[in-house]
Amino acid sequence: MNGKTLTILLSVAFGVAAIFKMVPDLEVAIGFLTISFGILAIIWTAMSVGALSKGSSLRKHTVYFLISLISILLFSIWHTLSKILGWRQTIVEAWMYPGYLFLAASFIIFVFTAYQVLQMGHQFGFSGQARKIQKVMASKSKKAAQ
Amino acid sequence: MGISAEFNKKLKGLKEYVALATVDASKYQETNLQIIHHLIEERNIPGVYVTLNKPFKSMIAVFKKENIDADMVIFIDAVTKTVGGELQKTDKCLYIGSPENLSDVSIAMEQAVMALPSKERFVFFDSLSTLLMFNDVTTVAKFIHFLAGKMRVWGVEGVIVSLRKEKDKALIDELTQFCDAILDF
Repeated sequence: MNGKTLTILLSVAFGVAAIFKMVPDLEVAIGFLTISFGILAIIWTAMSVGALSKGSSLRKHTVYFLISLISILLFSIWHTLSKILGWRQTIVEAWMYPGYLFLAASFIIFVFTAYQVLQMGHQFGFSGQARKIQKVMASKSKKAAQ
Repeated sequence: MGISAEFNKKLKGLKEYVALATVDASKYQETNLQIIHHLIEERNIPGVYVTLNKPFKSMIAVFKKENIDADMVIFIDAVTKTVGGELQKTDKCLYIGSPENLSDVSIAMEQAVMALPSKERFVFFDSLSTLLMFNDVTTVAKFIHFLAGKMRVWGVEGVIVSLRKEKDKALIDELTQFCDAILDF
């Protein structure tokens, strides 16, 4: 492990410890933690969307992934707010549903993303051609040996 | 000077290298085919042929005519227009759909090189000049820098072809620093 990685890991560990120290409620602390990591993941993914070629399959896949991340983050925000603002006790149950909708949406988009990964596997997989090349090389070696 | 002689002179038997081949426009196809013939038929090594210049269909016909075994090559065709510019795969070639789509070209090249069943393998990139027609100079310079680095990681014999043009001279000079040799044909 190099110095940079160690510094990053230590910073993250201190950040996590600080959240748990400042927020006494465990569920809210976990909520803040997931929101922080979610925002970071969204920033990195958005940066990669900007860097990839327009129309490329990897960019499309990254956009789907970004939408899934945003949905999950919205779920985390809704879930944490429901705890902080006490919606679960004070307001009708229907206020909880948008959170579950975000979660359901994330999984639906994940299915599309997974299907796209499957397509990419077919498109970028060259094992069939590699086997053919191996056969050609073997027959050439045989011919050369004779 | 013949292709083999130029290779031997400039690369001195290197098994892994990145070479920039500058080719005269009047004998462009002939020289490319001679390089490929040298790699496949004389050296018997498999490779990846990335074409931004001529469609796969034309390439395969020329290979056949010149008695070059196309089964030793994985083709990546970024010039043939596909429906909606989407990726299309056949058992002989991967069509990228657009020469501007450098992200997919990079992924396809890496996957193809890694699939090759030999320690000795080549990557033939045809060509830098065509890349410049579809992308700006900075993007091309960055891409070639990236590609040269990748070729070293993959441990391949990498040949990047460019037409010998006066207006591309500055870029070629800049790219020289990323390459092990400049092959003049």
